[in-house]
Amino acid sequence: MNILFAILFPIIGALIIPFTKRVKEHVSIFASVLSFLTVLSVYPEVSNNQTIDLYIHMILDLHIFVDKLNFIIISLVSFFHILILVYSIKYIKKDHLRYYPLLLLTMGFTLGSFLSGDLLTFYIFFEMTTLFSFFLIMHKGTEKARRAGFMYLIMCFIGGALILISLGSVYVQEGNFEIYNLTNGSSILFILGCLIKAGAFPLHFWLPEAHPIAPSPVSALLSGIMIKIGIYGIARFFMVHESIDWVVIVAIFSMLFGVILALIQSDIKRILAYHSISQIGYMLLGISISSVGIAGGVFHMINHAVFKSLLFLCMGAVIYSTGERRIQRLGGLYKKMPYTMITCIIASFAISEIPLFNGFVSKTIIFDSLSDNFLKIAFIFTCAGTFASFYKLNRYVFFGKLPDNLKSTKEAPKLMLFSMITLSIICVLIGVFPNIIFKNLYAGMFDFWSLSHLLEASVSIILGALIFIFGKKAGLFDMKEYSMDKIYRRFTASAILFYENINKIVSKDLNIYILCILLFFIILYFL
Amino acid sequence: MILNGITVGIILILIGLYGMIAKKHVFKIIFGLIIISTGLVLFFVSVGYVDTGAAPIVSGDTTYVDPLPHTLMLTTIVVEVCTTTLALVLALKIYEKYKTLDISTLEDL
Amino acid sequence: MDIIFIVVVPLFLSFVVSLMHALSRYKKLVFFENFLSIIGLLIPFLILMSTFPVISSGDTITYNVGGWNPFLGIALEMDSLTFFFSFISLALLILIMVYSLSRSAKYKVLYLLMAAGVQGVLLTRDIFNLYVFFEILSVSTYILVISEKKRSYKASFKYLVLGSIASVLFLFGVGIIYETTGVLNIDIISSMNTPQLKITFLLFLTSLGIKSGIVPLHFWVPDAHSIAPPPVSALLSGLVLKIGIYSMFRLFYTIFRTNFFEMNDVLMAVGAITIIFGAVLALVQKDLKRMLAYSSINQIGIIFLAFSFGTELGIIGALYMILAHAVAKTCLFLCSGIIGDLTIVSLKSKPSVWLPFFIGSLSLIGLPFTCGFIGKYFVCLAAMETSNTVYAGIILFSSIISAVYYLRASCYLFRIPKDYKISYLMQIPVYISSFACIVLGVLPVLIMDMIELAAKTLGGVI
Repeated sequence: MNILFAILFPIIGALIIPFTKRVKEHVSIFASVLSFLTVLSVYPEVSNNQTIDLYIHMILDLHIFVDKLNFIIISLVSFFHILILVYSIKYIKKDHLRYYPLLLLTMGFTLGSFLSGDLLTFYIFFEMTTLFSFFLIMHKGTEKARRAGFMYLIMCFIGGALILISLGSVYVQEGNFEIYNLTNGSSILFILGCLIKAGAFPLHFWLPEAHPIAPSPVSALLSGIMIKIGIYGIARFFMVHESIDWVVIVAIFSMLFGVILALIQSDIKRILAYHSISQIGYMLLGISISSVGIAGGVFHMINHAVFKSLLFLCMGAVIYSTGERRIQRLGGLYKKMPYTMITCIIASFAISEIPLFNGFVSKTIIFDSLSDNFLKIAFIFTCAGTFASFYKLNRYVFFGKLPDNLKSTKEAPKLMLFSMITLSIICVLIGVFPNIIFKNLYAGMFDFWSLSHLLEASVSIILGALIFIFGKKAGLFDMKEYSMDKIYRRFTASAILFYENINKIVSKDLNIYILCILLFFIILYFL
Repeated sequence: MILNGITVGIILILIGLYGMIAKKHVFKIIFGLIIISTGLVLFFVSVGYVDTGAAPIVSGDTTYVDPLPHTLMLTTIVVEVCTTTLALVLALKIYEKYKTLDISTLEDL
Repeated sequence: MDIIFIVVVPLFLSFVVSLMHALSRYKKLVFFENFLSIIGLLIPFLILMSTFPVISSGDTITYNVGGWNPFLGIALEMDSLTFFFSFISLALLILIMVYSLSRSAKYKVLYLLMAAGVQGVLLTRDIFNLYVFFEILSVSTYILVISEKKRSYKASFKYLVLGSIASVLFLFGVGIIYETTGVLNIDIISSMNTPQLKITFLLFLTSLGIKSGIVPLHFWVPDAHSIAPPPVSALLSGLVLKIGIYSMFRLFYTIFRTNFFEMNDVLMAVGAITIIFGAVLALVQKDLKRMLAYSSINQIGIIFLAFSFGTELGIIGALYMILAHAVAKTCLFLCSGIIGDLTIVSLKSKPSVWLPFFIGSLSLIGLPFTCGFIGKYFVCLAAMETSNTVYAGIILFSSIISAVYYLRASCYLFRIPKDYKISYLMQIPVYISSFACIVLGVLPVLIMDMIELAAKTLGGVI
């Protein structure tokens, strides 16, 4: 079937939903399943290293493009959307009319941005995902959610604007939108735009605001899939360009910065959000180093999508059952929510590089492609920090003493568990048989289970345990929330001040206006 | 002769502009507008003026004054009358609603 | 039929409607009035469409009023640029007329008069005649702005004074041109190929700048837009501002060609200031219609900037922006007429209103799949082509700011209020205009040929 239908089915579904009564979730799941099947149906065409190119002629020609790499990505993306829709049936209790169409639209445009074959197509879908996920972030409609949503919107639109300028300069010089035509100046803009979408270190500050405030399935989407659009763009860029040094530096800083801030958070979803920043660092590191690294980075991107979505869904289940989000007020849930606990621990193992889980396989590839010793040390330290912080998360949420007000907690509904368990099975499956995906990303073979890799993993685990013990003694885990809210508020206050000052000038007498006209005339005459 | 129709017209326009910028009364602003348009009409008519030209009734080989600006100015005068009337009506209405015509006390004007 | 009927029919019918209203006291005639006012716009539209085959093949249609030759008489001419503007304006006029059929007979009389003025400005090739039609257009708009609100008299007066100054400046410019060249026909003057005085150019620039709301001259825009009745605001923003821009196109690329390209840089800077000013002030407004008015200033800035690049791509971008802005802004203003309370934080509406509003906002922000995007895209390309990447940045920056204020308003609008009824006559124009936003964004091919043809007739600098 035509791959275009993978994009169109969800969009059509979103348009149908407002006219249906009470079966909105079924329609949306049906649309997403259709889209998933469409994606699978092109497998025979791409399996033997062929590509599908599809041009849609409007006045701006869109270019849809499928090869093995993005086939893997889009099949997983559309599959995740099915799972997340299933999860949402129980989780989202109100505003179905708004939620499901937006989710489907986001799905369609996300698939589009992974399918895009040139810069213009990428830009168009990039902007549309930003728009619709913005509404998803603000789903709760509180003042805080609105602020976070607008911060997200502004940052991602700035990213989009940078990409538009870079593609414009390519078009003016070369007459097409091919990614290999990006020159030095425009490639910086392009990478910056993608980095904003990905939430890498100096441009990350919208991410810990926006991701935790959204409903949990949406957070899973945002962290698991949406930020990967940026990484995907950069990966495509480095597949045809030389590596750039400053991207490596950005990657290292994101890794360390994200993990350090994650360690001191106490909100369970904020912890995960900061880990997204740090994991984005891994992917960038892999992508910007070598061709093996690109395969490793993309592989890690897929794996991160699996386990980070799973983590957000688990935390969503915890929030759904208890209504609490601070680790200090949680504890001892292992008796009450055993399945959630097991899936969460599997995901934690995956993210903190325990062998036989999927995080391990992709991280070893990235680690292997590193040559610099400093990079290796930073890498191991980040792994250790990740381990410590997830040790902390599981320790405080599922073990320890059960608070009194949580005595009546129940396990999450079955539909939610279904999504979580499916994802955790994928985690283990990829961890044990990494080659089912890796052989599609990289032509050569890779030895995942060599002694040095296992050694590196065990070193980082031991280091992580030490960090946890030290951190607990030092009381690092009870720090106040770190937030950009104040800066944002100051910005809006200054905008209003600017307006009031201008208003004083503008709302004057008619005489002043006529004087202005005269002055305009005279000034232009002497220019 | 420096004091021909064109210079007088421009001087009138400047006087009108001064009135519109300096005066705070609604009527005075309207008067400024009227003075400007009068100056403009004078300017236009003088543009068509030819020294020692006769009135443009063709009868032989003499030089004539250019008739086009005069006809144009008829139209302009009609337009100006219309605009001025409307402005005066609006001034009346504003006085009716606010009991003042001083624009420093009328907000947003 | 001759193209002069595009102007004459609404002009004539406006007097017929006013006479009918004056002579009869029967209510039954309302239907007949409505019929005449729709017909008065539909006939010109049909005449316009009948010229399409000629125009699309690249020819022009000329009509000399009274059979005088263009040296003395008035020449009307229909070329692709005029066709483009005339098409947009008549389509919008019909839509808004349908929306406001329930209004009084006075309104319809003035409306038809204004339509005649608009078409006259678009068709005529005589500068003095341009002035006259501008006056017809302006005087009827001054009165249309008046609503039942007390403040509307002040807004109207302000508009009148500033508009009259604009006319005076225009006429002064015409006088100087007549003195130096002795002709009033645009084509003849431009074929003389002499650069005009700088002061003449500036007189025209300032005058048309006031009419179209360029920033230091924009003062009447927010008041008139926010206080006028919603359909009139839609007209002001969608048409009247654009007519100023059209005259700039018409004059600056022909008579003032040399002056225009000399002052290119300054004009671009003026455009950039307009963009930023409009965007920032729109961000902090508390009233929806005032916000929309400042957003119009922002968009006018983009159009002005685009056409002062002077390249063909810039003109295409500007024309597309004009189309996009006219359609989308009309949609939004008409929506604002249906919504009750217009303070942004207390906006509420039904899905049948917020959906068109949302689509219109997307188009004004310039998001893909709406017509605003294509305009923005071409303008940015034009900026980069002339290596003015900074201006592309400014445009994109302003579009981010407009994303913030439009989506903020949309978010508030999504709340559903208690039941209230909306007449179908008011809903249909809203749907049509929002639908046009998407169709023109997905299939720009529909109108692109005409725009390219229009850009070619103007001819940018290489």
